[in-house]
Amino acid sequence: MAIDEQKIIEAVSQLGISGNEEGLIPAFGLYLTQHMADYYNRISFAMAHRLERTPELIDDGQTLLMEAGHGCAFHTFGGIMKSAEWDAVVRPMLQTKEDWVYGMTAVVNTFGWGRWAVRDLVPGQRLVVTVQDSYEAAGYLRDYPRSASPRCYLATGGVAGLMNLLYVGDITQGPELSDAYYKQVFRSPSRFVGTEVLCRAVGDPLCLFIAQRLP
Amino acid sequence: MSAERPDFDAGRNLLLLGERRIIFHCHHYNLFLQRSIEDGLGPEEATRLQVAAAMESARPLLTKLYAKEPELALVDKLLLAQRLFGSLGFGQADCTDLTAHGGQIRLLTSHYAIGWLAKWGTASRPVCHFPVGFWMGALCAAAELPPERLQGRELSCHAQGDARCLLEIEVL
Ligand SMILES: [Zn+2]
Repeated sequence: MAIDEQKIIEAVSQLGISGNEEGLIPAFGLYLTQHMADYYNRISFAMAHRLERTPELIDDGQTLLMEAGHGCAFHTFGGIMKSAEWDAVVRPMLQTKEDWVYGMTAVVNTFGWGRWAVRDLVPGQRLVVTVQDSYEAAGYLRDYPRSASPRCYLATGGVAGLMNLLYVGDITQGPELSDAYYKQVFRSPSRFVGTEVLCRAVGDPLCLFIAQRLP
Repeated sequence: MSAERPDFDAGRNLLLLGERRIIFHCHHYNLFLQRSIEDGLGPEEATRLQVAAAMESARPLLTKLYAKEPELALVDKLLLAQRLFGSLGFGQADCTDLTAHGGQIRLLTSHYAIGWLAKWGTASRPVCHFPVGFWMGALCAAAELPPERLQGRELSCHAQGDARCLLEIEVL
């Protein structure tokens, strides 16, 4: 059976994810928020800009923010791919490990992050993802002059993190998402790193990400 | 209640509320990012930035929601903000003490405090910067105050071991 993205989007968006009587959203083993893109963008870009003013700190902001994206992939994607909701909605469509990449991308397409699409997937080697309406690039374009460098830090870390979960670790076996497992997978010498090759914030028509193994 | 639920454009994967983009993120990312901002800028400046960014984000969103219901009194606008705060997953707030002259907001639960405790244990400083700014933005929009008149702080935080988070907004 092939991945039916529309069916996944319909099913997940109809879960009606919203705060309970305690004002919290426990789902997929996580506490979720329906948050404000403006908030993430302002705090992320303000920090990046501040660090970019000091030559020896130029890369630090990007490194910190991409590492936050790795953590997001590990816990959020990892938590979702181990959840009962995943088992109910997505898992019946999965046959190969590659299907997990397409299944997770379909779930991302309910998060409000803009539309993710897998352009190319070489099993165990390479993932190329395009994003239309990336909230990071859209927020950057609205509030700042055209950027000299790509600005979708969360998505860059997320794309690499998805490959790490599948081809460095093995999320299909349901591992415990512990700090030790994070270090094992995301500090592995054969881990994936993400690069944003095209970004709307620098004037490209869409954002494009490549995850490949450390050379 | 639909006034407080984002509209989903499934074709483009956009969630919109009050003409602003809404995105899902979990406590791991929210608290990891918060710590990263502190690592990058130091705790004082990171706190100021996050409070200001929250106020800047919440104020126009709530202004749009209030504009749809112009007959609402101040207290009803604040209750709308309270429902929104909960439906977005930030926690259960009690804003009944808040007036156009400021006041306190109790958080019976707080996503940021619970998330911090779950990830890193007891905090050495209050962590609910987003809620402080959210409530400053909500009061500003509801009472139509100039934002420069508002100051906000967290007096006690569940992440530091207090039973509840207590926020204070001062109107200068
Ligand atoms: Zn708190």
